[in-house]
Amino acid sequence: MSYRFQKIYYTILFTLFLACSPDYDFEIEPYTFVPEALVIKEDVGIKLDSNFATTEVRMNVKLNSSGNYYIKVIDISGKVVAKELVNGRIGDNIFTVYTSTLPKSSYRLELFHEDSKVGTSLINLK
Amino acid sequence: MGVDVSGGDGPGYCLPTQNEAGTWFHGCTATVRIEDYNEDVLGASVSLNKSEGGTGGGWESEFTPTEDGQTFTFGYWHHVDLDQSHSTAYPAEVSVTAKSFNISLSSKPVGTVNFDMVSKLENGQVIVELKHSGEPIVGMQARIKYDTDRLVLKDIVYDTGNTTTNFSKELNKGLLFGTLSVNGSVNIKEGTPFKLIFDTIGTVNNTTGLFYFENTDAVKANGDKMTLKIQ
Repeated sequence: MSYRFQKIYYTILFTLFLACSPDYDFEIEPYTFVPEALVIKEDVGIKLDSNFATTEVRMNVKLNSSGNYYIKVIDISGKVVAKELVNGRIGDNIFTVYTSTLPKSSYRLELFHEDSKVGTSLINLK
Repeated sequence: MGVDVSGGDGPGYCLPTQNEAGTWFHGCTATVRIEDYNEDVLGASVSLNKSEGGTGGGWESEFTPTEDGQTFTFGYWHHVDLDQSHSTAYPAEVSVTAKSFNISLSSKPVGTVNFDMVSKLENGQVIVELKHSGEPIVGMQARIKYDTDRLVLKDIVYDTGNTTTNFSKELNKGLLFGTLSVNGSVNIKEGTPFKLIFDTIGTVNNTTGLFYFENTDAVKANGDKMTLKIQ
């Protein structure tokens, strides 16, 4: 066989080989790096990397089911001053709590799924 | 209305004022010696600046300790608006004082109106929605503070009804907004009467802490003031 014939032959053969191979579905699961300070042992919960903050603090929201969750910010009088809707996925979800606007005080962060409270954490602004 | 115990050339009354930051201040506050913390002294002090040549008649606003180690006990006298809805925090004693003054507290909020509030990050914008379940109120206002380093107010979408008057005012790092049926004949429409839209500056991961509700009020058609509770 000539070199030119071999080149065409092997190209067609390789193409047919690939065409006949089964399709594989690859599912790439997103990986969230969780710093040690934010690791939550329980299945569900909320944790801050520090309970004292000035401008912002990272927050891990760990969920055992995906869907809509609410994060409430509650002041020391028990009043809800802010509430965020987050579409969480199963596992760890790293968020940021921005604190530079909030008056210096203590707040409770509560995590709700539907009407059920599934986690709580305290934050003190200094 | 309170009494301006600080003296000066004013009329002697202390009306609520709003500073450039948009914060209301209603504060005639005085710390007095405990022996002066009684109705006779405090009650007489209503006409403090008008008595005895405007000298403050019997009111000793200042003193100088002359002995070391002496303990002084003070009472705390705090003036607020009549329903005590806009003031700094007050101590428990003030209720006793108010009682002895026969101040009517009938205009205090007589009920609660619930508003559901939710914020979310949507297409790079921060959306804040206030949802009204339909309880009959003819007016409401809310004051929020927000992080102006990260948010720029883009729009307020009102859906309060056809005849109510909507209003908003940008404050220093904040926003006052609300609606009012001027003649009190129409209730605020059920649904989402207010939707605030903010553009973000830089990267914003989520909305928690970017704003907070500082103050909220609502009123019913009969004039009853309601506590507007954000849920």
